[in-house]
Amino acid sequence: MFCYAGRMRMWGSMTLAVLGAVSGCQVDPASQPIYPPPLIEQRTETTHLRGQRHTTLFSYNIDFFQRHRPAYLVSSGIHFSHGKQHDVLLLNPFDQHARTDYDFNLECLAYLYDPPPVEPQMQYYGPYTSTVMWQLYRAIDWTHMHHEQTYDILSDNRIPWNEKKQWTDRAVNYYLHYMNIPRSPAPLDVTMRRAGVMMKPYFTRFRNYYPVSNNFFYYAHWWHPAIYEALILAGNDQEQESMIRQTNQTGYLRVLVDRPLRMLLSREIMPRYSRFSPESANIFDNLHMLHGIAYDILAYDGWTIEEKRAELYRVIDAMKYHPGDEHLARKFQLPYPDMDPRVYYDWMKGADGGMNRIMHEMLEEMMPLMMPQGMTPEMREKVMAQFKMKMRPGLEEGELPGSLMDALKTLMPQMQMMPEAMEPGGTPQKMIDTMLQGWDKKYGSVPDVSPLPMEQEPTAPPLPAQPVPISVR
Amino acid sequence: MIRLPFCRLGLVLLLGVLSRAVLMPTGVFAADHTNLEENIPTQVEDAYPLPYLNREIQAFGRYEQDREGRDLFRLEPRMEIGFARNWQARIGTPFLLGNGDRTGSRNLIAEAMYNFNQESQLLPAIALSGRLDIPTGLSSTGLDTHVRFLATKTIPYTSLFQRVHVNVSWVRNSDPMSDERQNRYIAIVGYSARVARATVFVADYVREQQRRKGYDSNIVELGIRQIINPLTVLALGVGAGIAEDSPEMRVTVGVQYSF
Repeated sequence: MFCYAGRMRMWGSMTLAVLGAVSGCQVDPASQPIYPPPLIEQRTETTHLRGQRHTTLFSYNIDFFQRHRPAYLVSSGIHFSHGKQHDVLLLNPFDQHARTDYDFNLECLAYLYDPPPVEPQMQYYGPYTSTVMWQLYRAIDWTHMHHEQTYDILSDNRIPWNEKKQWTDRAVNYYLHYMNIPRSPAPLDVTMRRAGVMMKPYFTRFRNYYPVSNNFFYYAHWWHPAIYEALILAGNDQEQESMIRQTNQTGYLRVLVDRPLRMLLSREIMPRYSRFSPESANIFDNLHMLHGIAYDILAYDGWTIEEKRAELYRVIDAMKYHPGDEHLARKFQLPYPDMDPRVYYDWMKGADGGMNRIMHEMLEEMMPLMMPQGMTPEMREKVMAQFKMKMRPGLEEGELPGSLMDALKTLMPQMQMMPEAMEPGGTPQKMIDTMLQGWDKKYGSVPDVSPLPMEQEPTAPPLPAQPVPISVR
Repeated sequence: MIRLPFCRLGLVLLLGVLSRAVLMPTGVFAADHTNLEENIPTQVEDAYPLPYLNREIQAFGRYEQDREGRDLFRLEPRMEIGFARNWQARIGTPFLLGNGDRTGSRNLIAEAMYNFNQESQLLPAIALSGRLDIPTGLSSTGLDTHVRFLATKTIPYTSLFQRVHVNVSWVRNSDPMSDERQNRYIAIVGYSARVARATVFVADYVREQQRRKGYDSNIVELGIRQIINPLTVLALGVGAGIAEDSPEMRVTVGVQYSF
């Protein structure tokens, strides 16, 4: 059998080359926008990248599931939740949001306990949304494919440690060039500014009105990067199994029962993996943010389905890969470079962190445009108080209803907004340009985060001592 | 002379597939049990092709008994490939055994399908396929052609993943015998639904003008498609004929593997 491996590799490569020449393999995202939405959309799915042998046989494609099944099943349960959440928001009226939130959180926990044996695509549990906003699912499923590729490469102990980088870069290249809406490898600081969503009427809707479900996804967005960090700390040997098991256990016993109050960023939860593959780290941040923005839009009851689709497609297009984004991939800093993914630190739990720092900066950058006459110190204090409440899940005493924009408009009726930019599908271009200039001034010249040395396979550190988890006290 | 290397390659692939499918469950979503394939296990097919660059080995085995008690076994291996965006191509060969009508056994079948659109709230997904039955087999003469229209629509306003499918084929027999039709149709209405975490239920009704003049069949089929691991789907289906000229019963098992 193995004497044919070489011929199969050659046959596979030749076949791909011929097919590529015939069908035009790679896609330039800039030339194929999805916004404005066409009258008739095409399905246009692309398969996953095959590994070392150009087939799924004897390649890395099998390895995360085969080697780390319990962790794979957590991911499968999380993907159920991501998929079904779309339909839950579209098919349940907003005025029942509290009940919907409570019930769906229970369903997420049930599917975490008894997950699908194979990771479902979004449409399997969210079929209605696939018929009204197909590009959203394309973007999500394509990026979930990249999750699987990068987990598989790290899990395959036949790939030497010092070759992990080249295989991961190959997967990044495939992800960015074989579909027209890949997430950008630029940091979230840049793509969030490009999206221009902060002053839209839906922003923060999901976290404020569906806080329990929202925080389940904050657990999920802790889990994904924590697993990467566990893999990169463990090396190729059996320490992977123990690191993954211990990280998973932390997830169940500590994080799920005391969920983070913000979306954690890759640079916070997987600092080493972010140095190893900053493109992947940023792609995943951008995907996780897209999840949140999509849920905000779907939860907003002021627009029709068609208006929601227009706005969502605008956001998907704005946050996708633009050629040249790869040069920005390393433009971030690492607040906790030595963290251990098996430890649930206090700094992970609260609302203050990298994500809300980005939002705060954006608000400061937009404020001179919205309030050119300035603000009194008292008004500024009120604005910042409302901003902080809106960034936190749930509704607090003193928090004004609606979105962040609704709250600020209530406080400052004279605040200047571009009405057309607040419409579904409208782009607040002046705001976006101002924010991007602000980012460039602050971070454009900071040194790139250094690459992770991969010559030597690491040894997993001993498990740090932690207090007994709340769940077992 | 040409066949031998391909036989060996086929053996290598088959052994690799079996070991991968059975011994080493895998975790990449490439096989899709929601994407209905013809005769795996029912005749209805949905309007969605394989994703671009995906490759599958597929096979099904069917036992059918007609009203006169004659048995027909059909074994059909085939390969499918998403050779371009929104396209798929399929090539296969049926092997027919038993004392039923074995006309066409070992013909070469080649088919290509193109999907025009992703379905929307109102519009179903629509595809067209063209197929050639190349007369390499038993009692076959002339190149037969099939043109098929496929449509798929998800039932809206629900998270229960349910779809309705329609297939209408026009079959042209380029060199009919005296008792054979030159043109005939096959019309299928189907339904599929997610019934478990890894299982899709399929049902269809097949109305077919037979190749022999004056013979028409009506069959109802039920089946399930089960994803075993993300590269492998297994399927099982049963069917029963309605009225004369229709088969008494049929049982189908099928497998798909993405490689």
